[in-house]
Amino acid sequence: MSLLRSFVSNIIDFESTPKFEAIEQKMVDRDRRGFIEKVVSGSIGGSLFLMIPMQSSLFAEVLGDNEMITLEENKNKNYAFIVDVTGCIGCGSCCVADRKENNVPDGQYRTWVERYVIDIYDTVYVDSPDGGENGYSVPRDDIKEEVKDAFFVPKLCNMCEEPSCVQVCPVSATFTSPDNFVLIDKNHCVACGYCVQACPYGVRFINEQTKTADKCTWCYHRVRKGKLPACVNACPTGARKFGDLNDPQSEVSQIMDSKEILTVLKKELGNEPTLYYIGASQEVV
Amino acid sequence: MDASILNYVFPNDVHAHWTLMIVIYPYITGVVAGAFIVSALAHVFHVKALEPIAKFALIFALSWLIFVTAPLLNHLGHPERAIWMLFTPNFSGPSMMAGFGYIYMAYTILLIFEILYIYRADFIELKKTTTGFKRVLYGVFTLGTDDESKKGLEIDHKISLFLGAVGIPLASLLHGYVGFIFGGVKAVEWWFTPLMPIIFLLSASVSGIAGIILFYIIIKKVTGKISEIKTETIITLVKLLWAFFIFDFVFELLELGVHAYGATSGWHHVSSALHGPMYFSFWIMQIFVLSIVPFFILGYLSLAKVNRKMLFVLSSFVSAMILVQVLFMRWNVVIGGQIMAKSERGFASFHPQLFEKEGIAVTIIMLVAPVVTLWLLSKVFPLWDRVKSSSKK
Amino acid sequence: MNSPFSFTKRLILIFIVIIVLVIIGREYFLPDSWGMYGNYRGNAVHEEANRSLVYGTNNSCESCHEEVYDMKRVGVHHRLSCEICHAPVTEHVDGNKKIADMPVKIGDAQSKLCLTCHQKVLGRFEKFPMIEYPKHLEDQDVKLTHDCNVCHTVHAPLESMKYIKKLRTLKEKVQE
Repeated sequence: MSLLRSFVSNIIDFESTPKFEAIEQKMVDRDRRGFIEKVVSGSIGGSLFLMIPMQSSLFAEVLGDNEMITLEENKNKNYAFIVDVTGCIGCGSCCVADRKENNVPDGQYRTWVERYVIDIYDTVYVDSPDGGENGYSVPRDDIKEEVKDAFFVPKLCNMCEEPSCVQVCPVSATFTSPDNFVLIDKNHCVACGYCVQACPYGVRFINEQTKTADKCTWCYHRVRKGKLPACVNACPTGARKFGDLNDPQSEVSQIMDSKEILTVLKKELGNEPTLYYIGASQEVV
Repeated sequence: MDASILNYVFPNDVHAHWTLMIVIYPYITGVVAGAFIVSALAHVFHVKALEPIAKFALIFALSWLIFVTAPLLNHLGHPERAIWMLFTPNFSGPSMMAGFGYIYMAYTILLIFEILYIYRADFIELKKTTTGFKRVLYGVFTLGTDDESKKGLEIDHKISLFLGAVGIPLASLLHGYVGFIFGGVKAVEWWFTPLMPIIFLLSASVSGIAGIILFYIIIKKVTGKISEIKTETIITLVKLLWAFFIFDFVFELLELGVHAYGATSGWHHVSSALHGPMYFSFWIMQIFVLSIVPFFILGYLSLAKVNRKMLFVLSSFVSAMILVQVLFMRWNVVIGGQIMAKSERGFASFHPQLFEKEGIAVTIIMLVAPVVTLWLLSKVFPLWDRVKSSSKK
Repeated sequence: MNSPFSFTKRLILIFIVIIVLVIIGREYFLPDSWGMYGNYRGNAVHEEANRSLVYGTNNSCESCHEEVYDMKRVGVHHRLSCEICHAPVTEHVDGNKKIADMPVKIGDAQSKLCLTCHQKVLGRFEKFPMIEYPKHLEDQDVKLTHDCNVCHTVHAPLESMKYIKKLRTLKEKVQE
């Protein structure tokens, strides 16, 4: 059973309140800082300013003016983004958060969630109404056969180590930063659309407002301020995980060190994506 | 089961990003490259039968070259930043599209220089017999010189030969790099093949030759000078067209055939597109109506003895067919590749509108403009004969 | 009458001028930070890093809303982002000042919000707490006009269940 499921099933065991109270007590007893660090922030290793709730500096913290990680410091981090398919409930909170955080125009998506439904004859049906942003409360009534399995798959930039998009950009407007984030220079891009064609994962698009290429940046602007990407922060089940592999306490480190099977999408293309999936069966493209 | 419930395309992928503008860009550069090759065959390889159209081919190439950047600038989200292709090209990718700035600039310079050399003697004569604006133009084109010596003519000849020779690989590069733009994209199965630059180049040559045949005949007919056309010129052009076309068609089918034989999972998706949304544009139009039928017509014209009138009518007709075939080929590559969505589970859509920024009306204008420009250029650049010298030597 | 080479010489001159213009043009137009970290405009990295946040984190809420924060962090909703159910913190405060009220969903809108996650939907993993709505209200024998907060106190949804269960056993005892 995946790490997430065991974690969640320990917490949400609402068959008997006495057990809940015991867990509740355990949590309160645990070191406050450690508790908040693990649960709320999802393990950005060692960032002090997330923990200390001082009145005035909190607002500065929100806006991040004096709390930035420098480029040099950031180069020493080894970030990983792991998506646990078994934990995603298709609520769409990640998409809602991303749209607001990054000013994404309607109808265009930096991140989205797909729904996979597999029937007993192994036919795979995939859809993503509005990118999953409004949740999946409406079932697929067009599938007549009995359903064997169904799950949700969040999609976002795979932050490749050998990015096709960077290779093909004619004007060097998209690049890999010194701290290994693939970013877009909005002041330089001519919107030729070549990067959109070259990306195997369909995560790039031409932003209809800025008329430049755009894509998920793993919320670089948040990560540089010691925060989690907006979608990770929003995810209610912790299906999206982000952290520093150089911090052995982080959840991502623990997953990497475990026997958990991690996969990437379209591995055969050689882009060396650094977005890992837990529980993504072979139907997922 | 209704196929549409199995259809899934990534949300950003639903509509094609590269539109008609990207379909006609390789088309226009193709015609330029092909026309240049005809003129090079005449000038550099001294194919006598083609000499009457040597100058015409160059002006034809120029009239299309002027419009090469138009579809691209129209497509860009920030055309005012296009100069970055020249100033900050991505040479570490290297991005094939970055080649555009330098290759296009180099080729434009070469073509214009070659035209200036070939027409220099004519312009010096014309300077004497014209007045007003035209005279000023001729003065500019001769760079303010008026040398009429034999040595000067020899230099003209040698340098234009040199430029013609250098122009052949450069024209090939001008169109070959476009093929590489598609051929290097591993994310799109339909594009990812090393044959792509070759296929593009061969179909470019085909479109250039066909364009020259068609417009040669039409212009001469319209100006009432059809009798000036030598039969052997048309026959040579037709044979050339057939030969290039055979190679082009063989490579296109080879690409398809090897992939179909290999039947990878990526191929399954391509194949379902070819039998689905692309059935009409690919099998019916590009392959059957516009490749197989012209193949036989061209074969007949090349091998059988055909009377002059029939030759002219049929070769104009088949040239027009080939020009449309090459357009369909560009459509099938550019639009087809995007229709075969990256989700591997469905097809994206593309519905060009008549009146939109990159729509049908603009496309027609951009394809008609070179023809109009050809007519305008013919007023300044005599397309056919050498201007006879008025002074005695 | 010019020499036979004069045309060629002038053409070469034009060629050189074009090249020089390109070189000068590049020098003039190239942004200052180009090449700082690689073959791209270095300042683009800093511009992206300095982009202002829209969402904060749950800690952003704590200093003013300590009670709710404490109540929430020991409940089953501890992982939930406050800002997802309400709104991004930057729409609520700017610097030290409140600039707008935080939206709070009530009634039908609230139930709808809770159902975004908790509705029984094909694809959600079994252990995740899911209900069918409005069947859940019928099953729990409560008024169909109740929104979720009536029983669940959304910040710590199972906390109030203890007391409700006590109330229920009392009710049953009375009815006996």
